[in-house]
Amino acid sequence: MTALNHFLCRTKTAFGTHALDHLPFDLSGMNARKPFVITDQAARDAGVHMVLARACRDTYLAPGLATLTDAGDFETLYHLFVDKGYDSIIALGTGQVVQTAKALNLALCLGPERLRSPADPGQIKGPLLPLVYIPTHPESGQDTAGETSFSGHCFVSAHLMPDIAVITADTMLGTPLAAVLDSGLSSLAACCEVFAFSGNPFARSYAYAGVCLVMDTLLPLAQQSDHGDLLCQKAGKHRRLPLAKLTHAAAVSGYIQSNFPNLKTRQAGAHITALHPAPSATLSSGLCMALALVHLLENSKDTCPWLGKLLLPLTDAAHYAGVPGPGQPDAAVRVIRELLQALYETLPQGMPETFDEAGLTPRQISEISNLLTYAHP
Amino acid sequence: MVIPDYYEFGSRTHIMAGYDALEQIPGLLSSMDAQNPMVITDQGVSRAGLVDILLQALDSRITIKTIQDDVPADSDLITVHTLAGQYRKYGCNAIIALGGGSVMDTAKGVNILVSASSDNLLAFSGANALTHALNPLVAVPTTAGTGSEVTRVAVISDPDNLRKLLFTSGFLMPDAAVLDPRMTLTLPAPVTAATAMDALSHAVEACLCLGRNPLSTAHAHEAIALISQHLLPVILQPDHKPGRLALATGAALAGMAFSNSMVGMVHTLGHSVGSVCHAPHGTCMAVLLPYGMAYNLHKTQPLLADLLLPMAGADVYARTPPADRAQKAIDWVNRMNQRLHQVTAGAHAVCLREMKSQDGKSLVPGHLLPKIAHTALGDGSIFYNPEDLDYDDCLMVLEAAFNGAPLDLSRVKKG
Repeated sequence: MTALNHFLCRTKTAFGTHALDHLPFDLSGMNARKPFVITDQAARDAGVHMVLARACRDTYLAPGLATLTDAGDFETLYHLFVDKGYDSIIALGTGQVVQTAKALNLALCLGPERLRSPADPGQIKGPLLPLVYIPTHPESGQDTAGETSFSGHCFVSAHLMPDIAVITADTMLGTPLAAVLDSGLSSLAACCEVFAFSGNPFARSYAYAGVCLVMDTLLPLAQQSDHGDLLCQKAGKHRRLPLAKLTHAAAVSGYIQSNFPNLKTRQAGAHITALHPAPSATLSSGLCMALALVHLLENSKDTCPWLGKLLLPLTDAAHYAGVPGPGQPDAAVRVIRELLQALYETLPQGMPETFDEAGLTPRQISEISNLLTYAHP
Repeated sequence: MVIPDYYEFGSRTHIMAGYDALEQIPGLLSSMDAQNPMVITDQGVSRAGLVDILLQALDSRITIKTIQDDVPADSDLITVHTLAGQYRKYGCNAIIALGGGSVMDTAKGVNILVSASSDNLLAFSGANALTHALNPLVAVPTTAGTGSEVTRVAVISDPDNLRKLLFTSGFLMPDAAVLDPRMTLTLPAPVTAATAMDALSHAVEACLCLGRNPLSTAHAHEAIALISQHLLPVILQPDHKPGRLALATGAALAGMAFSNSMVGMVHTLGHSVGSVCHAPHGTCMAVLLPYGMAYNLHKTQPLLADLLLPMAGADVYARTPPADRAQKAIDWVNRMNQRLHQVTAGAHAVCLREMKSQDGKSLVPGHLLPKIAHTALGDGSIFYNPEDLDYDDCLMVLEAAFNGAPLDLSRVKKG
C-alpha cells in the first residue's frame, strides 16, 4: 500500500430489476417528498418518465417533471423549482441532464450568482439538496463524478456526486453501438489504470468490480448489435440488462475519476481527441483511452508491481492463478488487445487498434507516450 | 460474475488511511466547517497513550473543546445522554471518536442527540428514523476489527429495560474514518488476533450470504487478502507499521462489505454466545467462522472456492483441484486459528470450551449451549444465511465448536 490512501464515494448504487421501486423509501430517508425530475426529450419520447411515475404511484411522493430542450432552460428550471417548492432533484437521463441537475443544485444551495461568477469553484462545502441519478444509457463516468461545468466554469466537489444512482434495465434507452463502445472502453481504461497503478485498496475494490462488469458485457453487446445499428429498447431485456451493467461500470468509473482526477488514460484520451480530425464515431474518447491504456501497460510491464494482478478481473480466478506470476503482466495486456481485436471484428467500419492506425504521426505518438508514464513505488 | 436481481452498495465515509493519517484530521474538519470538536474515547485508550498521540498529531491546528474518556465497554443510554450534555456545554460542533466499537456506537448516539437537538434517543431507534445529515463525525479506530468506523449501525444498551437498541441509517456512517497504524501498534497479540479474525469473518460472510453483490464481494476479497497476508507477521512483529496499516485497512474494507451484504450464521451464533455468556466477540467469530463456512458448504461451494485465492494466494489456488478448493478454504481458516493459538501461547482459543476469563473461569459453559441456540433464533442475521437454520442445527454447530470437533455435514438439514 502507498503511504496515504484516501477514498470517498458519496453515492449509493442501487442496481437491478425494479430498483426504482425502492426510490420512494430512499427519498423518505433523506426527507425528500417533492422531487423535481429533469429529463430529456429522448427519454420522454420513449416513455421512461412513466416508469418512474409508476414507481412513485401510491406513495407520498409528489414529483414534478421538466424536459430539458436547450441550454436556455436553466433559468426556467431554477424558477420552477423555487416557485413550486420542490425539495430534491432526480436526473432522469444522461450527460446534459445530469450536468444541468448538478448546476441547478449548486444554484439552489449557493445562490445563482455563485454559478455565474464563482469566486472559488473548488471549495464547495455541502451538503447540497438530495440528488438522484437515473441513467438511460451508458456514459463516460462524468455523470457520477463530483464535477460539473456551467457557463465555462468547472465546479469540483464530492458534494456534486449524486446521493443515489439507480441503475436498472427498466430505464435503458436505445443506444448507438458507438456510444456503447465509447462508454465501455472509457470505463475499462479508468478502472484498469487505477487497479494496475494504485496501491489504494479502497479504489482497487471499486476498480475490480468495474473491470469485471465491462468484461462481462461489452463484447456480447457489440456482437449482438445489428451491424452498428441502435441497441434499441425494442430489442427487449436480453440487451437492456447488459446495457444496465455497462452503465453500472460507467458509474463506478465516475466514482473512481472523482478520486483520481489526473488519470493518465483520460489525459491522453483528451489529448488524442483534440489532435485527431476523425469523427468521434470512429475515434471516440473511450477508444483513445483504451489505446492509451494498452500503451501505458506496455510501458510499465516491468516496473508496476500490481499490473500482473489485473489479469484477475480481466479473466477469472482460475485463469489468473494458472499463469505464472512473471507472465501475468503480458497476459493482462494480451487480454485487452484481444478484446479490442474482437470488438474491431464486430464493427463494419472497423476501428483503429494502435496509435499508428488511428492516424497519429510519430511525433504525436511520442508526445502521447511521454504522457503515459508513471513513477512507480 | 453473478449479479443478483437487486442490490445496493453505499459507503459514504471519507477514508483516510496512512502512516500520518491523524495529521489529516484538521483539514478534514476544516472542510466540514467544524473546528471545535469533542473527543470521545475510553479509559483504556487514554491509558495506552493514544489520546496523547492524537493531540500531538493535531498540534494546535484545531481546538479540542473537551475530551470525554468515560465510555464503558458496553455503550449505554446514560453515557450517551451525559456526553450529549457535555457536547452542548462546551459548544462543540463535531466529534472525534477514538476507540473501538463501543466508543464508535456511543459517538454515533451522541451525534444523533446533538444534531437533532433532542433528549430522547429512543425516538431514533430502529431503521431509517433519521432523515437529516448529522454533525461532523470523524472516527479513529483503535482496533482493527469491528469496522464500526464505516458502518451505518449503532448498538446502545438500555440497562433499565435490559435490552439493546439498534439504530440503522445511512446518516450514521461517520463522515471520515482515519486509519493510522499508530493507533494499533500497542494492541496485545490476543486482541490483535481476535479483532482481525472478527474482520475476516465480516469479509467471508459478506461473500457467502444472501445480500452479496459484486461491489461488496470486491471489497471483501481485498480485505481477506490483506488480513491473510499480514495477520501472522504482525502478531510476530507487533510494531510493524505497514502490517498494522494493512490490518486496519482490511477491517474497514470488511466493514464496508458486510454493511452492504449483511452477515449470516457465524454472527447469528456469535452474537448469541456474546449475549448469553458475555464472551469476547472477536474470539467467538474466530472459533465459529470455519463452522459457518462448513455448514453452508453445500450451498456456497463456488463462492467458498473463490475465497482460497485471497486467503492462500495464487500458487496454492492453482495447485488445488477445483473440487477441493472450498474445503481447503475452510481448512485454511482452521489452520490460521491453530497458528494464532500457538503464537499467542494459547490465549487465542480455537474452541468455545477453551474461552476463559482473566481469572481462568470458563466463559462458555457447556450447559448454556441450548440457551445460546435458542437465543440465536431471534438474531436478525439468521435471515441472510444461505442455508436455513433451526434450533437443532444451531445446537449441533455450537456443540461441535464447543469441542473443536469437525462438523458432521451428514447431519445438516439441507433446505
